[in-house]
Amino acid sequence: MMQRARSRALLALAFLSFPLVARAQGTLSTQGFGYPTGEMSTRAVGSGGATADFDAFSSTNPASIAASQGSLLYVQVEPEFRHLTADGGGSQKNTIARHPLTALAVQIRPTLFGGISVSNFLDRSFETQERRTTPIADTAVATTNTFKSNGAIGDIRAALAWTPKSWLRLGIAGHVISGDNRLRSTQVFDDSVRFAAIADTTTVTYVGSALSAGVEVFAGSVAAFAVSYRKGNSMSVKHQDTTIANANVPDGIAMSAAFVGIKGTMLAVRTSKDSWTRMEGLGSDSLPITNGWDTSVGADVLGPRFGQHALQIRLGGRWRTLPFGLINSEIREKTLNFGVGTLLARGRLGVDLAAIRASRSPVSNDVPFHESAWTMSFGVTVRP
Amino acid sequence: MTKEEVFVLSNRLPNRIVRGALGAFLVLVFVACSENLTGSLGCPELCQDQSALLRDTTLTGVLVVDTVVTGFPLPGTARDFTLLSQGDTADTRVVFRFDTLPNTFRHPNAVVDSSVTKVDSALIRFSVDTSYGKLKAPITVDAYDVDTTAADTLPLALVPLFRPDRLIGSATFASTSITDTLQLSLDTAVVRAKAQAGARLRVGLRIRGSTQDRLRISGSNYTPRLTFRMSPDTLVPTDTVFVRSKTPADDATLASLYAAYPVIVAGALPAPTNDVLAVGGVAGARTFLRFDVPSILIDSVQVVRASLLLQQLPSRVTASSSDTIAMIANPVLAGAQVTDLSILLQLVGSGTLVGVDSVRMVPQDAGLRSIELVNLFRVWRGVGEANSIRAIVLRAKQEASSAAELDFVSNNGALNQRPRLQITYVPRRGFGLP
Repeated sequence: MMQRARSRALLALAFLSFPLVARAQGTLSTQGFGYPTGEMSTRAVGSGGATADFDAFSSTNPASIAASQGSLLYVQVEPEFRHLTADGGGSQKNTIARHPLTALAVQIRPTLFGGISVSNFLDRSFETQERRTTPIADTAVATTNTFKSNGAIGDIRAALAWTPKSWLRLGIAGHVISGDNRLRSTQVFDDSVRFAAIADTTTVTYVGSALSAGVEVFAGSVAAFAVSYRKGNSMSVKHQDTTIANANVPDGIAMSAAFVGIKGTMLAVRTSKDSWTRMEGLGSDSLPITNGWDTSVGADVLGPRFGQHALQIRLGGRWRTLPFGLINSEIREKTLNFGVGTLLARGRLGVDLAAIRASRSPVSNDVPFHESAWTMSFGVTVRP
Repeated sequence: MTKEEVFVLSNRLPNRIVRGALGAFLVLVFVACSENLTGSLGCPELCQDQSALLRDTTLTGVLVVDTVVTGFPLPGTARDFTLLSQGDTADTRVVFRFDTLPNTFRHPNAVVDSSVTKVDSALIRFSVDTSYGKLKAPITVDAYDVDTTAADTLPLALVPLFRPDRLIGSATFASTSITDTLQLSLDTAVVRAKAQAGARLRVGLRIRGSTQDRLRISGSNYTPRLTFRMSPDTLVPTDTVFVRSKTPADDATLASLYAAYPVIVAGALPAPTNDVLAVGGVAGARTFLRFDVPSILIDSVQVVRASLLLQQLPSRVTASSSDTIAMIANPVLAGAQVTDLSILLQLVGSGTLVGVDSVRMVPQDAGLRSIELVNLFRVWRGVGEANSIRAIVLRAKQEASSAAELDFVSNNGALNQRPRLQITYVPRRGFGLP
């Protein structure tokens, strides 16, 4: 009875978190080519991303799909509730729907695993509406401008992982970096009698590729280390069949260390760096791009049991500089993450829930905005 | 030990928890699918300026044809008529043809028809459109017997018939009494005589009163009619005869068009000299304008403004020159293969339907006037020049209901006052990349 009451309380807590997450949203994070969601699973997100390189579902390290210990299908949804605040007063809320990761892993041989994943590399969904004054001949006309972007650059990864030794996992992957932004710009003149509205729609498509490799090494049953590297190839942006610009997919390196000396528990630290500046040339020359570090620490702890069921409790934090900032300032993000997960249906169904409290701030005091967000991540794993 | 090992711990959970988890998942999926992306707080600091770069140009000599044609509405095409009585500046009348007067009737208790021997309570009824303005003073409507064997569609033959010895009815109406339908008593002896003789009754109406007044007869809403009684016995119903023409006898269509028609007695000026464009007036002037617009402005760029700039001149017509007149621009819907101006003038669509608004002007004023054609330009882009020539017809909204005429400088006028097009456009642009 006691355990049942606990589990009910936990689920109730999960439901109660929805009203909390519904009060956040903003636009500091969608500058440039968009917001990098991190390509991490709900489980990794719950621990701040620190366990991502050991996580079979995340698509950061191809070696980690060996951790699937079999075949699985993983689906993740992740709505974000952002809240932009102006220092001078005023705030604004937005909601963004994201489906950041879907993964399929297959055990080909006892020591060989294959996996395909589709993840959100850079999410560029936003809509702005503003008042401007447009000069026409020797006069100026007030307009209401709306600009909407929908879409993302995705990462389609095909990976192989091999476990030649019980303490060693190796992985390689090929990536297709592709996606599109569906853009709509409208300009409505206050003087609608003389001036007809301007409405333009277009779709730009991104095409690129990359290769990645990774390794995981286990030092007995105490520690684990992981390193992964992604080598970006060329990347282009196209409008219909016309190439508008060429650049490169960012390279990326990530390093992780974890303590696994306690059964069912992982304490991890991870740091990574992506060379986002390799995307220079795809956009305007004035687009500020930063190669910042992305560092996280977190824990994935075996929690209390409820009957036959164990609950994983996750907690973590993450610090990073977002790749696309403002002309006069970089934007930094700090997150506090926590999550839970368990298995249902005799282990065939895994359910993970994570909540991320993010705070995004410009480095410069000249930018009078701050952004906070609640992101709810929900992942479901199905095993045949 | 790896992280995966903890997942071996699962077993059967109570169904309610499974259902709860799935319910939570569905709720989250639902929430995740509804977006609200719109924001304005961060602009302009956090927003890209996606304003289009606008270019502005004024095209002179863009008119390849500018012609004034009078005589609108064309005979027989209107069902609404305006009676004007402004002396030599504007005098218009209307003729109703009742060519089918009955000469017999049948009593309800009789088995054979009876000849008309008596006529009583002969009235002409017609509807008045008061939306064009209330009368300010009492107005007198006179009815004349204008039947003649001459060609009675011509003012030359008809006007002399509006004389005292042919007056068959007259009534003065207070301005407040004119609200909807008017009825005018006719001389019953005349009606009886016409009926007995099997003759036709053709009634000409004219008004007398304040020089500024006019009476708008709305024949399209209520067909003008003649009613009269042929028997004092109330069992015999009142007979009603609608306007109907039987001439010309060899053309029923044309005859039907002339069941009721206007007669212009005075004020119809001829088309102006070729340096003036005219719209409206008693003469019913329309101006046909055909443009030679560079195709790039229609096919390759997004036009934001297309203003036809016309230099208004003080009207050459003094009647109603202080009234406000709305001028509308109707697009010509003909393809390039139609070149006959008289046909082109009839193949016009509604300006309102393509988003071209009317422009209100006072005839006695002068100055630069602008007619906004941007929506028409966008229609032209959609249909192509082969299907629709770049032409419009300017006409007065109060055509045939007001004596006022609007005049403008034509393409043969002073160089700096000729019609021109002011175009603002957005060149093809790329947008959306950060």
